[in-house]
Amino acid sequence: MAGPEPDSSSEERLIAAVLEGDDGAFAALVARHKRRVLRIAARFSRTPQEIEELGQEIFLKAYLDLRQYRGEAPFAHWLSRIAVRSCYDALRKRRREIGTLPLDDTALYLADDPADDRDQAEAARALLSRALPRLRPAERLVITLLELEERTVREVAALTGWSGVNVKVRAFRARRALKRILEEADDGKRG
Amino acid sequence: MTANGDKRLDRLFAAARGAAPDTSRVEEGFEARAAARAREARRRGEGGLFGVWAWRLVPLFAGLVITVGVWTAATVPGSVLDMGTEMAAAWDAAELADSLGGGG
Repeated sequence: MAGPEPDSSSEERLIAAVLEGDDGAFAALVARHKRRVLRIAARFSRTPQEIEELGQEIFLKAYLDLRQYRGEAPFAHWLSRIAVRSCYDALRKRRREIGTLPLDDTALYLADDPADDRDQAEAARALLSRALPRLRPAERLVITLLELEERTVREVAALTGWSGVNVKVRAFRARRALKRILEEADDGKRG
Repeated sequence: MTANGDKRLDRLFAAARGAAPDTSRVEEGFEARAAARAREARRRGEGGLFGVWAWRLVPLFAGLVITVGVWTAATVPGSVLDMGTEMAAAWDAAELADSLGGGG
């Protein structure tokens, strides 16, 4: 998922240049990491505009806080932490407006033996895009990072700053809530 | 239902992992826009020493102003001007000057 790590020595030079006020160096740094960051942002956004907005916010925060980067962990990890926290903040802000998307017109069942994996993936993505906003922001964040980004509990704990136990508890609650949401949607369709 | 529900969720997640978000449209020229935004933030002073500390120092300055105000009122007698007295004195002085000057 994360892709190859960029060359750290050239990255250090870029960071030093950014701190000297070199805008070109900042653009180069963004170009190296944009795909990783935008994919994280896309997991929590509904439209390309939201992805752009969130992505810009993440890189601006990184730019403004760059002096705090000590180089103890790879820059990509430091940036991912900013990305995840920004996504969490965005989820909390947006919670009211996106919490009520109907599930009625979404295909709720995935075929056991799908003829086309791509259709299956799209159907699953569409269903989750409506079901996940019904979770609490923290639950949505944890379940997305664990199940869709395939990160470990330890990684999620490092990214969010929560303890491993906390991450597990939130993941458990998120799964339970998601199951309930799907069951209720099933009942709604039957009734 | 729980076991079935879990299986269903696992299948759902596995299928959704096959549809990685497409960010290609946003990626185009993204770094140029990000650099422009950073430049703008720097121009406005966001993140600079002043930008970071100015807001944090507001309570300190407010406290300082209140303390100085209270200290002045408590320790300097007559520091609060009686505007009426001042105006009356000015009027008297003007009248005196007038009478001495023979105006009237």
